[in-house]
This record gives sequence, structure tokens and C-alpha cells, in this order.
Amino acid sequence: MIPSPRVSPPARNRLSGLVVAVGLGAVAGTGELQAQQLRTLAHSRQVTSEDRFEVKVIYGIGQLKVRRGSPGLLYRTRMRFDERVATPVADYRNGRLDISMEVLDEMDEGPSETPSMDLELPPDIPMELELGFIGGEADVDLTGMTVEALALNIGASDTDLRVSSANPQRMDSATINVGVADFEAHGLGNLNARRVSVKAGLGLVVLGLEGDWPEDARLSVDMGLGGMRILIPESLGVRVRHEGSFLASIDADGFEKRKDIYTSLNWNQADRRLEIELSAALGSVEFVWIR
Amino acid sequence: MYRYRHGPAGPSARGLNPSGVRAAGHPRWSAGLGAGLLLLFWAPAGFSQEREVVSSTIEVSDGEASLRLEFANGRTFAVAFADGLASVNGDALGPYAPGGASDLAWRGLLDSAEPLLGDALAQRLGEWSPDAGLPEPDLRLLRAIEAALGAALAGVSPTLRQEVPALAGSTEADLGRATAILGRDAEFLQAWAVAVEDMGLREAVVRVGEDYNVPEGASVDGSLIHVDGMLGVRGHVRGNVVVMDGTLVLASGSRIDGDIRTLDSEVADAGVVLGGERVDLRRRLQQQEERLRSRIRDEALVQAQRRSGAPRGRVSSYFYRVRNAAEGLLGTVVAFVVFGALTLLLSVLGGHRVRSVVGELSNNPMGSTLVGFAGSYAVLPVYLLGIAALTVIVVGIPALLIWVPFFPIVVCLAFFAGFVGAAENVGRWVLGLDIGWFDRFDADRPFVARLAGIATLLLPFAAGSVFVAVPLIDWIAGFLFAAGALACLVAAVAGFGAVLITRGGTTGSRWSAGFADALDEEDWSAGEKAP
Repeated sequence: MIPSPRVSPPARNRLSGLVVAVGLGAVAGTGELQAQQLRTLAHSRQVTSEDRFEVKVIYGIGQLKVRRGSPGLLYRTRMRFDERVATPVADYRNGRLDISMEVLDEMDEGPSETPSMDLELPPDIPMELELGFIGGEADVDLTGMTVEALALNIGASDTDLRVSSANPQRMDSATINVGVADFEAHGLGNLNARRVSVKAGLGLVVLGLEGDWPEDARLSVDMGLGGMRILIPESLGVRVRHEGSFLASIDADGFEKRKDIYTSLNWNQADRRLEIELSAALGSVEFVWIR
Repeated sequence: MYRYRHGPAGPSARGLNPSGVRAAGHPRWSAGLGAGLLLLFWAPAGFSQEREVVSSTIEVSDGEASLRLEFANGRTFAVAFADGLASVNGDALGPYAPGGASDLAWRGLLDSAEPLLGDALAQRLGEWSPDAGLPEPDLRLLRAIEAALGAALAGVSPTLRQEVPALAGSTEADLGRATAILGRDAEFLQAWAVAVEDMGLREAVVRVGEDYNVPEGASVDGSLIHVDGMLGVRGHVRGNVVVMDGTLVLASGSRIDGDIRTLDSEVADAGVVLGGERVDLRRRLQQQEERLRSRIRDEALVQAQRRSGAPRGRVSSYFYRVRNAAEGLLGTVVAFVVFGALTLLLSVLGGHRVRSVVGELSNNPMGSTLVGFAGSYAVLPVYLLGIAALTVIVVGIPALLIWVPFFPIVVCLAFFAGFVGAAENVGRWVLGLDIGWFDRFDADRPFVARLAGIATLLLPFAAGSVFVAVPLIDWIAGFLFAAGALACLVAAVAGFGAVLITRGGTTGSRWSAGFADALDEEDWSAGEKAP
């Protein structure tokens, strides 16, 4: 049984808190103390002739929120930052948006407010999303967006991913790479992906398989060291092929085990089926059935 | 393409104003406008959006509040309140007081416009109008922005509205005079602003294209401003005399209490009694421009130095380099002393084991290196697996308390012992070179060879530190530091491999036998026995 990542908020935020603390500690280090120079930058763009949209976000510090925008909007960003600490870069060209929050080297000029960025994306333009979170906290809500490819790379960021309605665009694969971080995803069934790949290095990961699951799909989970909780809706038939070491434990109530294959008891009756390839090195994996 | 890289407010790229004319952007000119002599108004077109706003950028900080619009046809429009100066498309419009009424009103507009997009944004901006109850200078500035915004959104070129107020002191043809002044080039207007900046304009008399004489015995209360014409002074002027693009004739015995300020004018002075000073406005402009450039240069230098961390000035920069070099050298010396002391300790306590490592490294360098690399990769997994294994075993809990802290210590010790072993081999090789003063050192003494090896491995760092102080070729330092780090890494890894092969130096007789003779002569007899 792994502890719920949501039970203990301090523990959940420990890692990102450490990252922020290190950053702020560096800011508050030696040197002449100066007042922070807060700046707010809001940028928005309408849809003109775009029929596809590529978005690449590299976010290194602070808090990031990704949401659906209003119809007609291509993107909107609102960044608040201390210009001594961070510099945002937004580059839009030919249907591709690159956003990053560069952390400056000169972080020795006194305490600073944590940078933040809100990003709104279009509801009706097919998007390729490549989101990279190095540190800080990220809250990504893909509800109502049209996503044709998703790559989520999480370094040491505390990240939530949420998809509350079905993605109208079928995507071949969605990849989620988690380094040393807490990661929680809900509504993966709404991603409408043929294959979802999750690689987790170190930390606590919650994968919520709620959602519509328009077709049968595959989920590949590669876990290094830590704990993972996989939330499965009762209507979904699940078969798990486990390749792992003796140091990884699996808690799979509601499954029938045959060698390294766990099959849910509803496999034959389920309308939608999900095959999970699970590889775990050290830690525990828990399957939890939800209504 | 849109690329926005945020940076501190500073001199922005200068562009055309909405009328398509590059306006004079000199702050002094703007200050002069703000002083009340000239009022520039863009014609406030009624709002009807003919241009589609496709992109907007709103940026707000303590010192800046700016708006940038991009239209569907690719044109852009920008208004900025920054560092006390309002500008449209980079051209100075006039001064404002940070935190003052116009600043707050502008920020309020941006705040309300930020959530909006496209038509809604254009409508909000186009319908905006400043509060008529604002103080006159603020209202004047905001009205100009209102007009510029309206014109930009309507897609029309703003025109100059000839609403020039009466020039104080004149009685007729004010509009014509103002137009004549406004029609001049930017330099003239800048000079005008400088000429009148400290004058009480209500007491000034402005004449354009006229000849005028102050008769002998007559006196004028206030200043005289003369453009395009001849001004003769035989009497007394109780103020300043300004002549621009004209001629000034000063009779003997004439008197001027203030300054004589001239721009591109001829002056015939027969002996005026002058209370103030003679000011060449063109020269004054050049001085101001030079000061501005110097200020911008200094500011840019300060910004650049902040980024590089280097101090100001060429001399300071040199000392900064020398200081860095000295710090690097001192650090290398300290590292040598620390390594030497630890080597001494290791030689006394476990010298015989180091000898086994030396022998293994000397005779099986490739094998040691490969094992070292493999062992390095295995350290962390072994550590974690050990923790995991001891955790699941009840009796392993006490052992866990030993395993967790001591395993890293043992690994570090093994790396250091391996490094020392590699250093001894390096030292023997170096001392064996045909270099005269190396004869003073006995290469057969292990401790001496180890110190020589450590010094050799640290040599690139010392050399790199020296190159740090040499301008233009300081990039060599980077190569030397990298080479030194690589050499030390290889030495430590290969040595670690030899430690693993010899099982901590306990089974090294296969290779260390060749060192038996040398061992017998070793000073550290207590610790340097062959295994």
C-alpha cells in the first residue's frame, strides 16, 4: 500500500518546495539586497489562418497553469515575475509557439516572489503539445482542447494533469516522462490516445484512468524507484503484464494472476479494454478500482 | 513572426509615428511641449474598427506600463509609459509623473484591457477617454494618446490638429506663428525647447518673420523671441533674447538683463551690457545629446557588467582577472596541500595496500580502468539494493544503520586510495624524465612520487588559472581546466578499479612483487609492508 500523494500536502510539495527554496535561497544569498522588480506581461493572439498549432513550453521555476481559452483565441499568456530572477520568452512563428521562463544567473540580489505563468490554449485547433517542467509547480488541464500529440516531460516539478472531457482528436501516442517528482494525472481515458507511455524515475505517481476510452488502448508504465497508484474505473477491463524485479510489489485486488499477467475479473465483459505493460524496479504499484 | 524577449525598460527602437512621420523624440522637446508652449493633438477619430487586432502585449511593472498591438495587416502600434516619458511607437510624446494621474489612468486602462481580445479589446481601447477632471498636463497627454489609439484602431493616419494655443505675449496671428514654428525640423524644435525651458512664457514676446527694433531709451519687460528676422536692440531688455535663424544687432550701450540665446543666427555686437550669458543653442543641443549618449552608454555598461559580474573600467577589469587567477592558483595550492596531507595519512595507515594498487595500475592499466568504470556505475545500485535488502530483513535493520553512512565513506576512501595509486605511477613517470632539477627528488620514495603525481595532475588547473589573467587567450583556461578534470577523473576511476581488483589492496601480490625492493627502503616502514 502506498501512501496517497494527496494525504500529506507538505510531503507532496516537498520536492518542488525544495527546488523553490534552493532557488529562493540563492536569491537571498550574499550581495546587496535590492527590492524585487515585479513585472506582469500579458500576451494574447487570435486565431487567423492557423489550422494546426504546435506548442512547446519549457518552464523552469515557479507556478504554471495551462487551461483552455475561449473560441477564437490562439493563445494567451500571463506571466508575473521578478525581472532580476527570471526572463520569460514567448516566440510565435508559423503556427508554432515556444514559451520558456529563463532563470537568470544573477540571483544574488535579495528575496523574490515566485514567478508564475498562466497559459490559455485554443479549444478547437488541433495541437501538438510538448510541455517540459524542470521545477516548480505545474497544473495542466487539457479539458476541452483538441490535442493530436502530447509529450509531457517533468523534471523535478510537482505536476497535475487533468482531462475532464474527451479529446475529439485521436492521437497515436501520449508520452509522459517523470524524473524526480510527484505527478498526478486524472482522466487519461479522455486523452483518446492509442497508446499512453509513462516513465517514472523517482517519486510518487498517480495515474487516473477515468474517461471515455473511445477505443481499446495500451498503457506502458516504466517505474524506477518509488510508488505508483493506478486508479481504474469499474467499467474498464484491464490486463497487466508485469516485468519487474523481486523488489517491486504489486497490490492488485480484483485481478486474477497467472504468472506475470494480471487480468481484471471484468475483462471478458468490459466494453473497453486496456492492456498495461508494467515494468517496476523498486517500490510498490497499487491498483485501485473506482466508480 | 512574433518574438518577445522581455528586458528592462530602456531606449526603445524608434519607429514612425502613426502619421508616418518620424517625430522628434528628444525628451527635452517633449518637456518643452509639456511646459505648455506647444500642444500636439492627433485628430481623435470616431471609433470604428477598420483594423483587426490579432495580437496584444501588455506589460506592467513599477517603472513601465506599455501596450503593443499587432494588426491583421502586420502593422504594429505601441504606447509606452516608461521612466517618466510617454511614447507612441517609440517616439517621445511627453513627460509624465510616475504614480501621477496620467500614469494611473493609463495603467487602469491596461488593467481593464488585459483580459480582452480582438474586437472586444479594440472596442475597449477605442472607446476609452480620459477623465476630463484630470489636471491639465495629464489630461493633455492622455488626450494625445486617446487620439493616437483611435487613429491606429481606425486605420487612419493621424493628422496634426492645429489647435495651438495662443503664445503668451503676442497679440495677433498666434496660430500662424505657431504653425510656422511647428513646421520646422526636429532640431529646431529641440532647440526651441531648450531656449524656452526656463522662461516665463507669459512675459515673452514671439515674432516670426518680422524685423523689430527696441529703440534707444525704450525698455521691454520680459523676453524677446525672434524667429526668421532681424532684431535690433538699442534700449533695455529685462529678460532673455532668443534669436533663431535670424540676425541680432546689439548697439553700443544697449542692455540685456538675461541671456542671449541664438541658433544659426548672425550677431553683431557693438557693446551690449549683458547680465546673463551667451548661449549657442546648437552647441547646447550637442552637449545634451552627448550627455544622453554617455548616460545610455554608462547604463548599458552597468547592465553588461551586472551580467558578467565584472567590475567597471579597464583597470578594474584587469585586476578582476588577476584576482580570479590568484584565487585559482591559491585554490590549486590548497588542493595540493589537502591531498598531500591525506596522502600522508593514507601512506602511514595503509601504505602497503596502496602499493598493491600501484602495482595493479602499473601492470594492468586497461583492466583497472574498465573495472573502475564498471564499478563506478555499480556503486549507486549496490548502495540502494543494500538498503532495500537490509530493510526487508528484520535482522538487517541494525546493519542498515552501518550500511547507510559507512558505504559512501568506504567508496570515497577507495576512490581516493585509487587516485593516490594512480598519482604515484604518474609521479614515478614524471620524476623519471630527463629534467635536471628532478634529480633532487627520489622517485623510489613512494610518498615523494605520490606528491609529484598529485602535483602533475593538478598542474593543468594551476596553468589554467594563470591563463585566466591573460586577455584574448583566456579561453585556453577552459581547455586546461577540462583537461585537468578529465585527468583526475581517469586517475580516480582507474585507481578505483585497481582497488576493486586487489580487493582493497589485500590481494595485490601478483603485480606488487616487482616493487618489493623499493618497499624495503620505504620510510613508512610501519605501513608500507608488501602484502
